[in-house]
This record gives sequence, structure tokens and C-alpha cells, in this order.
Amino acid sequence: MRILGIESSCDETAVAVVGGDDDRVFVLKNLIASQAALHAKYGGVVPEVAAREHIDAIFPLLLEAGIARDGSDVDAIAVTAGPGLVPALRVGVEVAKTLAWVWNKPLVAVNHLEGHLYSVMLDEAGRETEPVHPIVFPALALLVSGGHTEIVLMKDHGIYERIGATRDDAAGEAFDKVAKLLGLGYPGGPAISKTAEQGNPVAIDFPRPMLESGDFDFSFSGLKTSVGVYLREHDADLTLDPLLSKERGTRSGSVSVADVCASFQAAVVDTLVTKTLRAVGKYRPASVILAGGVAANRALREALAAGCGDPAYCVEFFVPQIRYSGDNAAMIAAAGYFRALRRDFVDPLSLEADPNMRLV
Amino acid sequence: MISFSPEQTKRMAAELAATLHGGEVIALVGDLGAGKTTFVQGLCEALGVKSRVTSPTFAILNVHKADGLTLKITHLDLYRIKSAREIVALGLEEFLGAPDTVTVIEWPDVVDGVQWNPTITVSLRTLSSQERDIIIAYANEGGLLSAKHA
Repeated sequence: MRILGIESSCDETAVAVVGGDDDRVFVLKNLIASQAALHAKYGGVVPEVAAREHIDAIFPLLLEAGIARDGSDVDAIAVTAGPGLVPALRVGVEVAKTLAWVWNKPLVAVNHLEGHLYSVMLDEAGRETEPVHPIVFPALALLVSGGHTEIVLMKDHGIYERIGATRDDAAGEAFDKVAKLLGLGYPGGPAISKTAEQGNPVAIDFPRPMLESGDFDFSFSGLKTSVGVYLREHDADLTLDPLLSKERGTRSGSVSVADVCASFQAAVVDTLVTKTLRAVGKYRPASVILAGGVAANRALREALAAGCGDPAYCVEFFVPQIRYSGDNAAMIAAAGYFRALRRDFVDPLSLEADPNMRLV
Repeated sequence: MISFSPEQTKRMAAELAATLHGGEVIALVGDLGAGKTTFVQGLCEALGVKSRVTSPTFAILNVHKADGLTLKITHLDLYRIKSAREIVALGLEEFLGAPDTVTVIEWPDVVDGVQWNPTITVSLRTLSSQERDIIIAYANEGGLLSAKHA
């Protein structure tokens, strides 16, 4: 079965074709507008916050992916129906509905977060290396991105239980905002991790928020504020104003920026890993999934992998290849494939984008 | 007014919430960590929102609905926005100032060339790790805002 996946829930416009064979999926095409040289070819510039302007990129992407005009090489269409920004979501949803109706192909509505869970199964077709193998259930997933931080128990394909979530900021947002405080630019999550490699993770004892809260919820807003307060107390001229901070360099007087980055990252990783492993202890899953944009963070990947390998837990660990950890349409097509296998289709005439779509 | 805790910030927001009818556009001004999202959490709780109110920085726009009420709270965060064009692409005209919607905007002044004319402006300033100075100003009282946003 070949699935066309369409994603436009936030900043990225993306189109992919994924093949499915029994319980495996392989990526045939995976295009993301921000990474494709579309404007030279088709005109138009994709802004960083795309919203309604996803419409400018989506047809060039379909053309670039080489999708047959009559849809003859596609068996089903999967689209992100939520959660996300309504004007952005609507573009993908309306295009998918139109194609499904005109081509008379089944349509699958995919939750963006479900897509991230399936990203751990993505690999290119015909690779010589050991193929990525299917998720082992029940799986406990830590979903971390710029917009989400949740622990989800995936009991089987499409069966979820939400175990915990952030009460304020997502972990990725904390990374990006601390990067801004340090003058590393926005979004600066990757810059923090890179700078952290030169720093001492125990130099500053930043709080591990809600570690003893007794549940599986997170809170990263206070940690961000702690970093801000630390910087102000240790470097009077470090501004907290994002309009001014972009003019700053990455060195700030007596404070070693690398130490701040490393200590902040350690606090986030520690909190995420400790809570996830506690959930493993309670729910005893067969595997652990780390997914979402922050799954690209090396310190987090390594710490959670080590935790899962600990004899106390000893669970299989799934993490997406780096190129599939951010938003993409291949993961949407992969999640759509497993819904299509269950014939979980939606009516192309009535599907609506749902900005608050829940997994459970 | 000085707030000495996130809980107190939420109580101040609840007092403001009691005066809202719908159609208001509230600008929230303050640096990172000043408590803007905390303020919105207090506002939403007081208006009867049961679902969790989280930071909309990444999503840009979160819509919360109070149980059993028709009032919607649209929580907008322009922190990531870089141009007026991106704001146009958000299609805000669909709800901005609508009688069934209270619109709350974090980082309203992050982009030049956009005039919001908020009905209420809440300014939060960090005094120390726990203390925040919170000023609530109404557009029709004193004309402070019209001067600033004209």
C-alpha cells in the first residue's frame, strides 16, 4: 500500500509518500518546504511562520514529489487534522479532502503527535543496513518538541493513554527561550546543545521542576525563569528583552555561557528522563519511544537510552533517525498506513481541522 | 500592584476576568518569565476553562472554551513572529474583537507596523525571582494606550 502524507500543522509544509508492507513502513519520498529549493522553481517565499501561506508551497511539493496527476500511484491519503494552528492545518486538510474526493481514494485523519510516535519506524526503502523494526507494544512514549511535552502509553496501534504532560511550557520551548536569553538566537535549541558540549553540566544547580510532584506532569516555565534570574544576578548587562538580545554576542562577562547551557540542558534532560523512567517502573511497558523535535538532542537520546538499558528497567528503546525527528509528512503517512490497515477512514466531505485534537 | 507569587498573579487575573464580557482585546506586555502565561492561566480558570492552559509560543494561537459558556478565550503569542505579513497570514480577522471572544495577545509589539488598539493592557515587570509589578490599564481611561498605540 502506498500512502500520500500531507502535513501543515504549524511551520512546515510537507508532503511524503510512504510504502507499507505488513507491519513495516518505508519512505519513498519525503519533502519539506523549508528544506526544498522550491522558490527558485515555482516562485514564492515560504515564511518561517507559514499559516495560510502553506498554500503557496503545497502544490509545488506535490509536483516535486512526482505524484501522478490522477493519483494512480496512491492507495490512500493521510493528513494531519490536528493539533495545530487552524489556518495552517486547514491548508493541508482541504487539499487532502479535495484529492481524496477527486481521486476517489480513502482519506485518513492523523493526529500530529501520533505521527511523531510512528517516526521511530521510518527508514528509506532499499537500505542495506539493518531495517528499523516495528514498535513493540505496550510502548511508553516521551513526546518532546517545541510545542509539546507529554508521556503517552501506546497500548497498540491507535490505542493511547495520556500519562502526563507539561503544565506550561514545552521542553523545546524552554530550550529556544533560554537560547534567546543567552543571545544564541531563536529558535536556538540546537545551539544550546552544541554550546553545552563545552560546558560543565554541574556548574549551576538549576531546579528540576516537579520531580517530586507524585505525578507524570512537567513544568518548564519556572526553569526558564530561573535561568533568566541567574543571568541577571551574574551579569547585570544581560538583557531579557528579545528585541535587544539578538544584538548580543554569545559571551557574557563572568558567566560562562557554555556552563549555563550545559547546566540548563542537564536540568531538562534529568527531569524528562527521571519522570519517564518512573513511568516505566509504574506501567512496565515492553518498549520506550522518544519522539518529537527534541528527540534530536544528543544528551537526551543518550541519557534515556542508558536508562532503558539499566537492568532495573531493561526495555527496548526506539528513537527516530535525526532527519525524521522534526515535523515531516512521512511520519503522518506512516501513522496513516496503520489506520488504513484498520480501515479507519474519514469522510472527505466532512473532515475539519481540529486545533485541539487529542490523542486519547 | 505587586504580586508576590504565581498564585497571586492568577488572583489578579481572576479579578480582571470578572469584568470581561467578550470582544475585549487584552495586550500582555512583559519580559521572558514575567508571568504572562501564568496571568492567562488565572484568567482562563476564572472564566471556567477546565482544560490545561499552556504557553502558545510554538502553536502561536490556542483557543480555550469555558464549559457551558459561549465565551471563547483566544490566546495569541507573537513571540516567534518576524513580520507583519506573517500576522496577516494568521487570519486573525476571524475572531479579533468578536463579541464571543476574549483575545489575549502576548508579545503584541514584537513586530513593527501592526496596530492592535487593545481595550486593556496588562504590563508585568520582574522585580525579583518571586515579585512582579503588574499594571492593568484600560484604553478608555486616561488615554495612555491610544497615545502609545496611535
